[in-house]
Amino acid sequence: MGVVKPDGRPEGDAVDGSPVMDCGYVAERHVADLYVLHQLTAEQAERFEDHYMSCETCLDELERAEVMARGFKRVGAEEMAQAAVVTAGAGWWRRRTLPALAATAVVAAVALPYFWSRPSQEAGGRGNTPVVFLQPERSAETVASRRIRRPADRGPVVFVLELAPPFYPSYDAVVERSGQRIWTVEGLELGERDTVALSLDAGLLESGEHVLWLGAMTPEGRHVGVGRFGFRVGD
Amino acid sequence: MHRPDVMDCDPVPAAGRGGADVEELVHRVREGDRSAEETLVRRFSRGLLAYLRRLGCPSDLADDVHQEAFRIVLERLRGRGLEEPAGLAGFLRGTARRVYLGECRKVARRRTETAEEAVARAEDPRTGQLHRVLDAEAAGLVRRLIGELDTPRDRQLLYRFYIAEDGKETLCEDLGLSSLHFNRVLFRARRRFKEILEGFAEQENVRWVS
Repeated sequence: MGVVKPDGRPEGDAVDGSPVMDCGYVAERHVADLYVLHQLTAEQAERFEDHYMSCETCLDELERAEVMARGFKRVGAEEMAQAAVVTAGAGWWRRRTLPALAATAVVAAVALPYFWSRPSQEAGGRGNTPVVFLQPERSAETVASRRIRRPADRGPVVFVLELAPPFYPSYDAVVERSGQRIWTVEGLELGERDTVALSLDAGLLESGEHVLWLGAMTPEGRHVGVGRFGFRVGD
Repeated sequence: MHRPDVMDCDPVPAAGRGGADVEELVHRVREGDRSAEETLVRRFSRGLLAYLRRLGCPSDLADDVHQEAFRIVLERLRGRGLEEPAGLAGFLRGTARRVYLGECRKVARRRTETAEEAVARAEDPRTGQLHRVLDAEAAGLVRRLIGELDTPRDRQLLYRFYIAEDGKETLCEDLGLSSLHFNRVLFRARRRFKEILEGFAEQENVRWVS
């Protein structure tokens, strides 16, 4: 546990026996990371807060821990999304019914014909499925900033749309290229981490600028625009 | 005892960085020393914003809450002062929390929900546009860190610690690690990530946390 002082108290302990929450303790015990991950007791968290309120070094460490935790959570979410597409592929092959597919967060209306027409594809799923995270654009004049490469095998491309409040019970999407509508879908539901996910067959995505318009029905039955998501497809 | 793995910073008493210097600041504010007020705000400003992030206060509201909290605290210090000046950090946090809850109650009254429900419903400060961009960049930096790790076990440790939020004891038992080894892996990862982050920030001239 540590060095024991002549009076029997472990080194680093205050007179009352509780750990001294100093910068050394914070570094040695990964306190900033445990704090960000909500793994400290309430008392420990309060002691750390008392300390970092005026300690620049530990505030730097806290910010590093916050960014690191966010980064890992994002990596985890992206890998889970990719894994979910592979897993969902197995489910689609087994279920073979559109209503069941529409109930899932990943809409297979376009991907289903692809699976039916590719009997040589090993049943159950596919790998290396591109997953694209998009944020809504602020201005209609904004040139699409998200560039994606069209998969060589023309398989599905999963789009994960990251939304902000207010949220709605149901969403619909329209995908356009050069002002021409190429695909629509309704009945999308909010999924994990405030996202809506949909899957589009890469065969529909020719090179060039694309826009995905996301709309929603309010509880009052009014249709509202939620966001414009632009992306550019290249080979 | 020299601890080469420990960050180089000033040791702090158990009561936080309170002690004589904070008590002196509080006393000087009571005496009308405006420079002491400025020093106090400078010293605690960043920490207060970090605490507001912890509460889930959106970044666009945090500046207002921060300003109002300091206004209230300084007014108190100029007037009847604090019974325990060394407890200034806790008093400041408590004041900020009340101000933030007050803002949530205003929203709650409009939406007919309790303040606690409003706090729970409050937008995750990480989901605003700026923090979404930062989330994606943070993920890129984490992937770089992961790519530099020596062994799959180290990768598994970090994944389970930060994503699954498994505790140290569980990880040591499952992965067959000693406590020392666990600490070493985590400390190296933290230190390397800090280097990667600082290098990125210098390149991009980005302030990570608003």
